[in-house]
Amino acid sequence: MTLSLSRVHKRYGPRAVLEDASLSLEPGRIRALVGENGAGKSTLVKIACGMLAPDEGALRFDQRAVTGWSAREATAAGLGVVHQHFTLVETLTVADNVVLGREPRRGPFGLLVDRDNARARVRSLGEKHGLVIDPDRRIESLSVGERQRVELLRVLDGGARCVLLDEPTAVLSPAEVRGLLDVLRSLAKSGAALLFISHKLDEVFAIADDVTVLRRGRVVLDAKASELSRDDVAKAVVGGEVPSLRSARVSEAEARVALRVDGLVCDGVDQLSLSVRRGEVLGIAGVEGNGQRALFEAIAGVRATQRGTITLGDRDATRDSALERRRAGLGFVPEDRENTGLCAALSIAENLCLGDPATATGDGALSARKLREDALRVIERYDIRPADPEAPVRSLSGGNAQKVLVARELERPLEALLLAQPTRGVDIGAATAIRQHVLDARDRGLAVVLVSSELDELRALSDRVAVIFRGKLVTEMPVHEATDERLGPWMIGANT
Amino acid sequence: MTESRLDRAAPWLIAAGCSLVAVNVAIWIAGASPWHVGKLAFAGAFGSAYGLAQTLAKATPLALTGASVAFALRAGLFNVGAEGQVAAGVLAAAVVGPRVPQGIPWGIGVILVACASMAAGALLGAIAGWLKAARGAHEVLSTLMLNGLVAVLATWLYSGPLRFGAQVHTAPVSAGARIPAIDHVLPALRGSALSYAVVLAAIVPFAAKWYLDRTRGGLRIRALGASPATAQSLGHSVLATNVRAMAMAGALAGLVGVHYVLGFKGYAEDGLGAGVGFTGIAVAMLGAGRPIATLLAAVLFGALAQGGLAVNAVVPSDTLLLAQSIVLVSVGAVVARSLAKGAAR
Repeated sequence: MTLSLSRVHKRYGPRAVLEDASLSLEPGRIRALVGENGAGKSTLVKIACGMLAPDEGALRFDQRAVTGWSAREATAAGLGVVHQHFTLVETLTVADNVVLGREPRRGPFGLLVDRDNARARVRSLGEKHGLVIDPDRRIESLSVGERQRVELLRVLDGGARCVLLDEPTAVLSPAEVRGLLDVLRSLAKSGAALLFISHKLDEVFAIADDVTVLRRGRVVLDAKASELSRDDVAKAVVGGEVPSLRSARVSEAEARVALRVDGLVCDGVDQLSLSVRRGEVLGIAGVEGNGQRALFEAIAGVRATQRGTITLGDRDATRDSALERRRAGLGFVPEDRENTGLCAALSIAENLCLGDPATATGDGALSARKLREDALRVIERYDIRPADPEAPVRSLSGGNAQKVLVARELERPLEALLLAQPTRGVDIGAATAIRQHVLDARDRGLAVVLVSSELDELRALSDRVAVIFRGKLVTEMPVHEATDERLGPWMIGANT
Repeated sequence: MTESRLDRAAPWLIAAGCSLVAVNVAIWIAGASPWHVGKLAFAGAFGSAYGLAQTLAKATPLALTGASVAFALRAGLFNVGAEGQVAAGVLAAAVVGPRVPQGIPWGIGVILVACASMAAGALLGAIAGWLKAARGAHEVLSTLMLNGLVAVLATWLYSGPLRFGAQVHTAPVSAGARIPAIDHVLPALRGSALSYAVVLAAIVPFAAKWYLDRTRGGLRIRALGASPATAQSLGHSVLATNVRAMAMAGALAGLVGVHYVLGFKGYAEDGLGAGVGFTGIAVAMLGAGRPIATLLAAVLFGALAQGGLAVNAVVPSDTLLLAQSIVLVSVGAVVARSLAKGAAR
């Protein structure tokens, strides 16, 4: 056994985050850790790698009791962590980042960094584990997936035999996820002990040997993956039956077009046209960085367009400001929830209030009571936790923050909604709830344009699926034809 | 996670501890007994009705500039231009004050001059806000530059066009626009600079907080401070919010002109109000957006200035003013994080 935590307790003030949680990692095996946002996963990782001390419980590494070790000791002992937020120096090269802190030296008194040696180290590690990357590129020029490879390389270069990965796939495209899973398998084969945190059950079952499920700080399931079904895990995660999506339509899509885009050209989008009717969801698939973000920003009116028209209902909105479009019934859920979607420092009630276009102008007094009552209604409807209108959004888990954002847009009269990555980094329970709210809104006649990197989500919500590639919609098909096999070649541009 | 009482008090305690040590060392180096000087300073600032009144009079402009800096911080803007906005407010009061017609009812005259002072400060703030949002000029640089501009303009006006005969100050303001000194009702305060303008200073931090927390316009300012990209995606005019936030902050600082010109002096002169804009930054940092803390911080710095005068015979008054710098440094060093959180909130 490489790493084991037994009977760990951790409290923050009156709140127990972990209660009697145990977990063990063995060489050559991959353990998946699954649980809702706020179930205690990240706390467990922090305790394991020495960033946090447990209140109670024992931590052993290579049979050695190590309770209370520091992050530095953990690294030295062979424990590596790939955090959700990368810790790379943007202006340095890949090789520099990988060897930072343990640079190979040369020259008199070892004053100089031996960069040839560093490059060679990166190359040989990369070949060994299938993490191919040019050691001379600067981090700032790398994609998210490539940056993650550098993080992993750095951990391996430090001689880690045990690697903890905190939601490593949350920011990756499907192709990158497959690449990462291959790397992790090869790592395990070479004898490393791995902990893999993810919300996505298909990933868990694709890679894990063992599965641990945390719910509200307790281990509620610990078994071999081969002895479990997806349903078992999903039930353990939510603590009961998994809410299933009621996707059957109440009514057919109406004939009236709610949002039409014709020949749109802007920075990142090239001659793009689309239209979506009332009561219809148009899904847009595509590898990230192919203009999804630019498209939504242009339609929302926060990015300048060069050519093309945008029509909202019967209204030509091409010249309208972002606020006029919102007033005309356009909703926008941007992909960057923290920085573009919400005001993390403001409370739930204030964030909800900001969705009302009336808040965007004028100086009138706000009724604290009305703000609170409106918020409580939404909190109950969307099951947002904590159910405290005054709680700052930054104190919420990803799933709850996303619920606030989606509710802010859905809880006002809308014609059309631009919905980007609605469940990224969101746990299974919250993701299902958010999707259900979107489908219910569709049944009430809302037109939705959905961008998601999860094809399953696109298929679950959409009526039609289009593929965006280099700023253009290159194909469109009814949802029942939108299989991975049909979408894949379009997404990577093989059909164009 | 909620802030505990200790978390909130920490900046005060640490700043007080550090400055106490530093000031005592400075006094000791200056060759005096810290205990003796301390007693003198305290007696000077709080020991008599007159001293207390002087302390409050010195705290009056600081409460306003402190509120001004704190206001802009909530929009994510660092207003180091309160200094210039104060000078503009003083200048506007000096121009409008003497021109208030004699027959006008008292309150109206004061309001007229106050409006002029606020407008002058607001104009200066608005320029910085516009430069920030439209041209990308950082507000720290632009407000500092505007400070210099106003200072030069004021010096020229006070020594030339606005000079009152052979005097080195401007024309006295009309009787209809004077704010009476409080020594009219409390003879014990005779000679003190304390006027009813202190009431204004006591109200403004609360009013500013109310506006930010309880109105739509205030919510937009805080949304901008929390996340400019979110404000933009919500269709807010980031330009308008920047201009408005800085203009309102400038107006609060401009109000200081009312204290000096209508309350204290009755006229303006070169150098009147110098330094209160910068001290306002320290007041805002200690106040961290909370009105009562802002007022307490203003009184603290007012007391340091007044106590410094009382000990001037023994040690230079600058020894006490050292405390102000130490407070700034320790607040900056120790609680920069909680300050940023407070500012955003």
